[in-house]
Amino acid sequence: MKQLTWKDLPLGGYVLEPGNARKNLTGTWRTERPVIDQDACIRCRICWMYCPEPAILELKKPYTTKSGKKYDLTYEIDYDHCKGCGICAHECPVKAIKMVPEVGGG
Amino acid sequence: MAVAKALSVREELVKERLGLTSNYAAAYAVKAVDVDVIAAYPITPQTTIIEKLAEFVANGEVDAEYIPVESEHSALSAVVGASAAGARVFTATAAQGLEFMHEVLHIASGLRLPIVMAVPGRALSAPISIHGDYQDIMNARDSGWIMLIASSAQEVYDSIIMAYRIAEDSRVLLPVMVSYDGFLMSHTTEPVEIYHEEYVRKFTPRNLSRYRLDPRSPITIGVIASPEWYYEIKYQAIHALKESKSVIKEIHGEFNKFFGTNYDIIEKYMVDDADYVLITYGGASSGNAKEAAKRARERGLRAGVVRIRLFRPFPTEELVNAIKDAKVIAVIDRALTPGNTYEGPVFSDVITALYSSGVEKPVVSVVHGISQRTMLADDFYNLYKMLDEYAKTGEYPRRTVFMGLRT
Amino acid sequence: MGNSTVEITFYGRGGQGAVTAAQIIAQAAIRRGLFASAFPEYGAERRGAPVRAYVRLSREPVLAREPIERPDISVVFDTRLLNVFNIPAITRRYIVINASSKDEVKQVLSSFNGTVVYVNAYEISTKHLGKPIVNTTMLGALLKVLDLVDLDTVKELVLETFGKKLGKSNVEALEEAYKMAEVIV
Ligand code: SF4
Ligand code: SF4
Repeated sequence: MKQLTWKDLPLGGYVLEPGNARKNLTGTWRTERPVIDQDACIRCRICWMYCPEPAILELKKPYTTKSGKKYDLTYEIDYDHCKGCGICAHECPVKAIKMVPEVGGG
Repeated sequence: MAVAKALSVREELVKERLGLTSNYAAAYAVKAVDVDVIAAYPITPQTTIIEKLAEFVANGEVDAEYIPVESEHSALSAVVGASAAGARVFTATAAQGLEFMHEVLHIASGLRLPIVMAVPGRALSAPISIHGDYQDIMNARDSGWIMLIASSAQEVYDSIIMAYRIAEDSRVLLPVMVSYDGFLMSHTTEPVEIYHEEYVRKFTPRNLSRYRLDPRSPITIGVIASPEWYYEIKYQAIHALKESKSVIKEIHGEFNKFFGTNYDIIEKYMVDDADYVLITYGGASSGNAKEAAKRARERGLRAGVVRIRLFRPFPTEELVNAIKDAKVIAVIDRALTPGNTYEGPVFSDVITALYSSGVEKPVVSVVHGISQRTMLADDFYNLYKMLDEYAKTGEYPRRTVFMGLRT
Repeated sequence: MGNSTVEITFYGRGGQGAVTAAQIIAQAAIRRGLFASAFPEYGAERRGAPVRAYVRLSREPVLAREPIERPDISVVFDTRLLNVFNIPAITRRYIVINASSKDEVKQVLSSFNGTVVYVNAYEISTKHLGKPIVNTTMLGALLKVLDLVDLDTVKELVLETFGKKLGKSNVEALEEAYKMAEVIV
């Protein structure tokens, strides 16, 4: 691919296309992936708030845990953009997120 | 008669002839061009500009948002934001205030924002000094701004009007600094012809042909650029600054035609046949040098002055052309570049300009007027006599001459 | 004085209004179509510190931007400033001076060869303004020997500078000084 020259770029490095950060698939940076244990998760939303990408998805997906607790929401990871930083796992108050090595898996 | 026509045009445009300081002249110009946002923080010798503007806003004579910020860093940051949103903006500062703004200076030019700022130059601490020189302005010279240096209150007024046209031109889109002598101009009352505002506004219609922050069509301004992008984006601004010279000349021409004035990016005073030329900038250096040239001519020396009015981009070809027939030249600096081969900053610029054109000349670096150390016209007259000596002996100083320094 | 360029230095103390007086004279000249420049010599801006303000009046544009070394006219707000600035020696033609009596003038200016304009500005300004701020009073005395500007234009500018109320009493002080000032040859 021919790289853009100084003449081709928008003035001052402005980004003219709204929301195009989505095109940057930071998921390729990952060495570890966060995996949420949906039965342990208490839907507190802390991971959703802390994720810098943001790559935690808050979905209107009902879920019933093994012990029978019903939730309207489910938190899932957007692996296209999750860069594997581990902040979510660190912040989760009930340790419902585990960081799993990508090597060999994926 | 072209001159007679220009004069009659001017008579029609001039509303009144007032006794104004350069600071008040700046405020009157800002009033005339109709700005949207003013943000500033007081600092000597700039304060009377923004006091006057605050008065205009309070009286309803200027319909602008006036933001009294808590620092110069915030002043420039506020107008960066407003300008990014499409507002026509103004700020002013000097000395430590300009230093405190320094990081935002680069942001303003890097983001290609048409900000106009007035700076009456002042010496920098330490030791603490409130008096005028050009150290603050010289420290700003690598920040990518267009820099004009005026030499009279009238020129300050006219330059600020021109500055908005230059800054907003879609071929330029860079911030413009209009600077001048702290105290020796900022606080000197002299005649200024101010124009009817309708004419000024006709000359400076808002030019909004640029991308702006607008919630209806979102864009991002101020992103991070990784090494594979930074260089190209920075080069755009460098290139635009260099190319802006022709636009600046074009707008000078338009202004002269419209207002019956005679501005150029350099000013030549009795240089056409001059053997000895002083290169100056600002009001006191240039005024006293011209007076000295007059005195020297009365005593048989062919003396002349070239005043640099456009400092960035540097008027290389114009300057070299003006001095190429001179025998000996001196550059008068009112600022320092400590530790360099010669301590006069503009001296280095002149040497570079000559080098680029393959012209070799004896050029003397002179520093004077630091922290407003008294400069007399006779100091410059004596300098012409020294240049005459150098021409005769072929020997001239290879170090900066510190005039007025007690040794 | 009919010269084409006149150089005037005002000598005062911080708070006495020397800078304002210089600006008023320059503005009056500009209003009458002349060229003029007025600029203060700032030291540390403290109340009571000696202050100089320079005025150049001319029929042609003024090139030089240098302090006035040999004024044609010195306007001296306080006799104790005479020695501070060596005023009798450097003044070319006139010294306009605020003093308590003609005897005092004779005593302090015995070495001066030019013409002296004497006014008791403390008395006049205290009478009209309630305090000894002498700048407008000194302008009245200066107008005795300066014909490049006229009394009416200066009065106009005093009114504009000080506003309605203060302006009126300053104009009164100016007028009385203009009447009372004595030219001593
Ligand atoms: S690992 Fe980092 S990027 Fe991925 S979801 Fe957790 S906080 Fe977000
Ligand atoms: S922080 Fe933990 S418990 Fe809270 S929503 Fe996220 S995964 Fe669930």
